[in-house]
This record gives sequence, C-alpha cells and structure tokens, in this order.
Amino acid sequence: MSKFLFTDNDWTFARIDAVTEAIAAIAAEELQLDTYPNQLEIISAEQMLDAYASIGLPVYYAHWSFGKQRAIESGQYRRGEMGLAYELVINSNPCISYLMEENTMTMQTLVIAHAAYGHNAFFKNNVFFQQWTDAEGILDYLEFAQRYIAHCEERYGIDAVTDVLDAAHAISRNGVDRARRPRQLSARAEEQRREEREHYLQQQLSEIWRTLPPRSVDRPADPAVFPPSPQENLLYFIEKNAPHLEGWKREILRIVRKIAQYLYPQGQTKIMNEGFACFVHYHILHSLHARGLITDGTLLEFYASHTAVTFQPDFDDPRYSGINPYALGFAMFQDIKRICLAPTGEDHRWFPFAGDPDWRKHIHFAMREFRDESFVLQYLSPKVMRDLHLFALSNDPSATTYQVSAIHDDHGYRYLRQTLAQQIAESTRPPDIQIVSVDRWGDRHLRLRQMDNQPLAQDEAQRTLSFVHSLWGYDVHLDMEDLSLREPFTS
Amino acid sequence: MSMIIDRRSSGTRSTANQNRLNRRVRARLKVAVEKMARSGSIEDLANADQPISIPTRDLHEPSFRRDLNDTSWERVLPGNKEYQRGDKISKPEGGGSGKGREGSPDGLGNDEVAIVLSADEFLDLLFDGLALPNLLKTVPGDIQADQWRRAGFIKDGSPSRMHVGRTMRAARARRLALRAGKRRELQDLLDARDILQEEIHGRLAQKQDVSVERERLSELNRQIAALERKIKAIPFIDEADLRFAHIDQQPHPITNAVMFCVMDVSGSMGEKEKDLAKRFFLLLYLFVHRHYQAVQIIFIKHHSTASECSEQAFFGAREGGGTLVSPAIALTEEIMRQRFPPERWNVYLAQVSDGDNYFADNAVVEEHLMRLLPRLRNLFYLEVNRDSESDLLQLYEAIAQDFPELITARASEREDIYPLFRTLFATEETPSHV
Repeated sequence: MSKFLFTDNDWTFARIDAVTEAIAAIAAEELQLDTYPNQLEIISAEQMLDAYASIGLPVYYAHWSFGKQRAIESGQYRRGEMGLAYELVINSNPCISYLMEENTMTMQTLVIAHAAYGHNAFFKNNVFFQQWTDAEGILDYLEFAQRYIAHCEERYGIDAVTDVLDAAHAISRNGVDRARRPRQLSARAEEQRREEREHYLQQQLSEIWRTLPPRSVDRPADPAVFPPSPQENLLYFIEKNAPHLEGWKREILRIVRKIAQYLYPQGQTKIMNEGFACFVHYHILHSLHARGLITDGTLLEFYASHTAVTFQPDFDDPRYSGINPYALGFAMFQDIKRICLAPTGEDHRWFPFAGDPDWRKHIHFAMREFRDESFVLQYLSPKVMRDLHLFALSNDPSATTYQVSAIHDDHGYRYLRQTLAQQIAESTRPPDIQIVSVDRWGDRHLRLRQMDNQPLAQDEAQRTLSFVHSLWGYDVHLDMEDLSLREPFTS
Repeated sequence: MSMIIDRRSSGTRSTANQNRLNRRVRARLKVAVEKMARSGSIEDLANADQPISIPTRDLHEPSFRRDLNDTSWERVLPGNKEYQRGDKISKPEGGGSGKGREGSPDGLGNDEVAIVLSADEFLDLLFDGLALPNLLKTVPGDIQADQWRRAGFIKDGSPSRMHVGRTMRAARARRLALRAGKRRELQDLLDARDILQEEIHGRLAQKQDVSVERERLSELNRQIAALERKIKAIPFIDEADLRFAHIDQQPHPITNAVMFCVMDVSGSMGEKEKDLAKRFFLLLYLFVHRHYQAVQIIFIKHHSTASECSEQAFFGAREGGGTLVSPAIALTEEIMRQRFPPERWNVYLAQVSDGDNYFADNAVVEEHLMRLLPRLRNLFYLEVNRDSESDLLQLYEAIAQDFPELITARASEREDIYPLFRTLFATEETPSHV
C-alpha cells in the first residue's frame, strides 16, 4: 500500500491537514525551524486581489489608493499580464497564510512549505522583524486603526480624513526610525493611551510654541536650534510638533507611521525572505518525495513552478525587470549549504565556515542576523556571481556610452558584491531627508534638508512638500545637498 | 499546530476603497459618462457596464523619490555573455527611456485605471442635479393603491389565520393569573391544617378533649378538596385565549409608471431623426425609471393613423403619407383608459415629431390634450430637425402656459440631446448667499 498523501491533484481539507502534518515533521526534524503557530486560510482569487491592494494586510482602513491599486491589478490579472501569487503570508502570531482555492494540491503543498514554514520561520527569527515589528499585536492594531479611521470619517467627513491620509502616505517612507529600535505595538494600550495623548499633547505643544514669553528676556536667551539634532522621522516629528494639528489628525499620522514601521523590514529583507522560503520549500518537497509521501508527478509539477519562480532573465531578455529576489536569494542560500558540504579551494579562501558540515547552523545564522544589503556583502559567493553572469555597468550622463566596470572574474568579484549591496541599499531606502530646524520665534517655518547627494525627482518633491505643508500649517523649505540644485524649494 | 479556515464565503472587501476611488475621480467619471450620453452608442448607455478609464496620473501619489534620469549610476545586471571589464556599450538612441508598450486587447495600458460603474452609480452621475419636475407634486389620494398589510393580532378570525404562539402565550397568562390566588389560598389552608393537627396531637397527649378541633379539621379538609378541584378545573386552553393574525388594507403610493413613446414615422422622419428620438426616449426612460420600481413602455407610431407597436417596429419603421398627430393622442388616451388608469399609474408621455402636422388637425390635438394633460405626470415634446418652430410646437407652447407639466424642446443634432435634457430637468439653483 502506498503512503502517498495524495495521488490526484484536487485539494481537500483532509489532505491539507495531512500534508501540513508531514511538512511540520520535516521542518522540525530536518531543518529545526522555529515557527509561529500556523493559520491557513483558503481564499478566492477576488480576495487575493483585495489582499494585494492592501499590501497583504488582512484588515486595513479604507483609502482610495487601495481602490486604485486593486483596479490596476485586477485589470492586469484579467488581461493575463499578471498571474496571482499562489500565496500570501502575514507576519503575525499566529502566522496567517492565504491559500488560493484555484491551486492544485501540489501547489497547496508548495505554498504551505514556502509560506507557513519558510516565511513564518523568517518572520519569527530574523532580527529586523524581531526588532521592528510585533507579530503578537499587529492584527489587533490594524483593527484599531480601521475602527479609528472609520470613526474619524463619520465624525469629520471622508474628505477631511482622505486629505490627512494622502499627506501622511506621501511621507510614510520617511516615517520610519531606521537607526533606533522602536517600541512595540499594543492595540489595547494604544487605545487606552490615545485619549490621554489627545488631552495632554496640546499642553506640551504650548510649551514649544509659547508665543507670550513669560519672562520678557527669555527669547534671545534661547538661541538653541530646535530640534537639537536633525530628525529623520518626518511623520513622528510632525505628529509631535505641528503647531495646530487637531488631535485626530495626529492620531492618523501615528497610525500611518506605525504601519509603515511594521512594513519596513519586509522591504529590507526581500531577497533573504524569499530566498529562505524557497530554500525551505525546496528542501521540504524533496524530503516529502524521499519519504515516499508524494508522487513523481507531484515532484515534476513542483519543479515547473519552482523554476518559474526562481528564473532570472538575462539583462537583454524582454522579460528582464531587474534582479529577481527569489532567484538571487534561493541561489545564495543553496550556495551556503553547498559551501558547507562541498567546498572548493576558492570557497575556503572566501568563507571561513567552508567545510563545516553543520550547514543548518550557518543557514540559520544567515537567516537571523542579516538584511539584504549585509547578506549580499557577507554571502554572495564567486560561484553565484558566475552562475548568474553578473556584471556591473556604469553610466556617466555626459558620455555617449555605458562602461562595463566589472564582470564575474577575480578582479571583479568584490567590486560586484559591493556594487550590488549598494544598489540594494539605495532601492530599499528613500532619499535621506531630515528636519533640521524650526523657526520657533519667527514665522514657524520648517526646514528640511536632503542629507544624501542623490538628485530628487523635482516635481514629486514639490508635491510632497505641499503635503508636508498641509500638515505643518506654516511654510516648509527643503535644502538640497546637490550643488546644481541649490535653490531651496518652498511650499 | 495549524488551523485551516475557509474564508471564501466572506466575500470581497474592496467596496469601501472602490467608493473612495470613485469619489475622488467623480469629476472625471462625470465627464466620461456625459460624453457617453452625448455621442456614445445607445447600447452602451442602456447597459452602462463599460469600464471608464481614468489616467493614473490623476491618481498619482507623490513621495520623495530619486531622479534616475541623467545621473551617474552603477548597476549590477545578470546574464553577461561577452563583455569584459572596460568595454563600452553605446547608449540607445533617444535617451533610452525604454520601449513603447504594446497595446492590450481592451485598449488599456498601465497608465490607465479602469473603473466599472454599477448601473446605479452610472445613472447617479448621468442625472446628477436633475429632477423630474412634477414628481414631488403628489396630490393626496392621487397615486394611492390599497395593499394588504399585517396589522397586529385580534381575538376573532378564520382558523387558518390563527397564531399559535400568541394563543399559547395568552393561555399561559390566563392559567397563571387564575391559579395564583387559589394556590396561595390553598397553601394557607394546608399550613392551618398542619398547625391544627399538631394541636390535636398535643391535646391528645394531655388527654384533653379534641372534638371541636376534629370538627374544624374536617371543615378544613373539605375546603382544601374544593380548592384543589377548582385549580384542576382551569382549562389548559380556553376560547378566550385564541389569537388571530390580522391583515388590513392600507393605502400605498403607486410605484409603477408607464411611459408612452409617441413618434412620427411619416416620410420626413429619417434615420437621423429616429436616432435623436431614440436617444431622447432612452434618457427619459432611464430617468423615469430611477423613481419607480417598474416602468412599462408603450410605443405608438403614427403618420396619418396611429398604432401601438413593438420597439423594433417603432424604430425600424419608415412609413409614408401625411401626418396627423391627433390619432396618436387619441390612441394614448384609449390605451390609458383601458390599461393604465391614472389613479393607479404614473403616466408619462414622450412625443417626438418634426412638427409637420396637417394644419386643421392642430385644433383636434388641442382638444385632446386639454382632456389628457390633467391625467399625466408629464408630457415631453421634442421637435427635431427644423429651422423654425412649427405650428404644432407653437400650439404646445401656448398650452404649456397653463399646464407646466407640458415640456417642449427642439434639437437637431445627436449631441444636443443630453445638454437639452440637462436644461429641461435642472433643479432650480438656489442663489448662493453667505
């Protein structure tokens, strides 16, 4: 009698249950994964589009931009330009994974291995998720946010709420504490403290905005720049210090900021997160096959999906749209295992852990302690660069040609690795714009400064500034570091 | 441990976002809807589920972003085939901002968002700010019909309407009420008997006489027996408990409407005129339809004689001969009398003609109209394709002085119809003051 968990390809709840149990055993015994409890939810394609529109969050407040996102995506989906992801997973405890009802049983197996064990373990163990997000509190907090914003719409009108959300969204990428570890979310405490905050905030503000100096000589005696050091978190600064913002608007800024912060690690770890999940599903599916639990047919169907997901088109391929995080991440995690089990002389020169047979230890360490930028710097091996045929191209706007600055050879490996890490860092980080001063005694204008030297898209910057202006209530200036664009923006 | 939850039945949650999106692009949607009403095909207008595309630049969400054009950058790319370090690759012509997108089957690119409006949303936009002139002037008793309605419970009725729940409730209440006093009385008697029996035992122990007490005891026993009989005799259900569901006739406003479409099909009405007429009728129909549960349409075509016909025959027909308007009005009157009595129907009449009426007929038309108009909600008359007002239109305009429910207009181009429609039904602007 065969031990196969399934032989035909229709999924049932019983089969999903059995498969999950088998996968859980492999994940624990062979990969020693530490995961949150799993909650698997079966959803329809329409619901998957919904989830897409709200960045995968199961509960979200209402805003037109999510409606727009959904209209774009459902259009692409219906025209056949975009397939829906087979799964979507939420960094929460319990960890929620969505399984689409259209999936075959093989696909459900793959999704459970990939999301419910791969991503789940990554969420629970990666240090950035541990520090920046709170899997326990997020679902409660999202519900609180949805309720609160619905309440504001009822009380102040949809248009007023939309205006605040539009402005907050515009600077939400500049609303994350990148250097400091933020405090944890807790919906209940949030709700309790909210009213308290509203009441006391105005008092604190009065302190900053005291227009009647209690002692007439105070004013010149206070030359200190406020804020004392530049502030990178625009949303936080405005929430706490805008002179005339109503309490509920501050609360909305806070909600947008908290959610932006929750999402921040996802952008920082795309390659690792997907790479690790692919590594896990690849291992688990093979193990299921080795244990005689899935058929050869299932394994072949799995290969078809797996190779489609981890396919990296060449730069000159019409399908090329950047480096595929699934491909790069998967190749790198597989390579760490290879370096442990079958190292070459080159690996020994590059990696001190080469040849250590305990590959799980090194995989776990890499998964826990890095983000994409540092992961590439640390682990991108010459072998992976050769396999992907990586090369670096540089552009000088005044020249008529691009120049190949490095290729996958002994000269180029380190250079390529650094360039790629730099490129990842830039694409995941918004322009570094910080608040440098507030004219407390004059016209209260807010001065922002761009701290890096990457030119900004001018039109966008101007429009974003006018949003900042709408929140701040007084003039806003942006100084740019790039010398050619020295004139400050004013809004 | 893992849990599996089936979420498929909980449906989509995109409505709130969709509403807010529509709200944001309302101005654009309105322009698009009005354009469809002006020159789009009538099928589009009638079905109204065509997606309306909105350029995404209207919906752009700005943020601080890097400008990647014309700057120096360095990128790592996959798939090197023959390049060596130091190779130079000439830049593509024209700045190389990418290849053009190929068109997609529905003509939408990535820079457009398609919004599909529901029929109601479409009509809301189409008729935004418009109202039927006579709709609100409901004369009491004018558009009423009797309808059976539930009206509580009564004690008498036919067995088929008996309400078991109410009946049982009444029975229980009666039993409780009738028993309670007797039970209390019974308990008192039982207590008294216990005391008496103890007293008898006491006296017997002291060898005293108990004959009086014995007599009282037997009296008590008799009373107790009588009470118990009475309690038992209370019936479980009594005729007085019966309850019946009651229904009553109540006046109810009529929500049905009928629209008579009357068109001249004499030789002078060509394809173009018919198209104008069709557009006019359709807009009117959609507009009237928004106010009522159901709208019936009756098509009447006429040249020198009038006949009721199907929609196809109505718009397809092209018949020759002279024109007489009065037979069509007479036929309308007749059909109304037979099938749509105005006390039960909201009647609208829409008439399109080129105004070429036989001169002597105008007086007959006037006579008919005087009888007909008071029974109509509105009469809409559209005169098509004429350089000057016809005698018929002048007649109508004269009548309209006394009957505001008669509304007249002229049009000669397809694009005129919708704006005309807007001016006809615009709600009176209240002068804005602070």
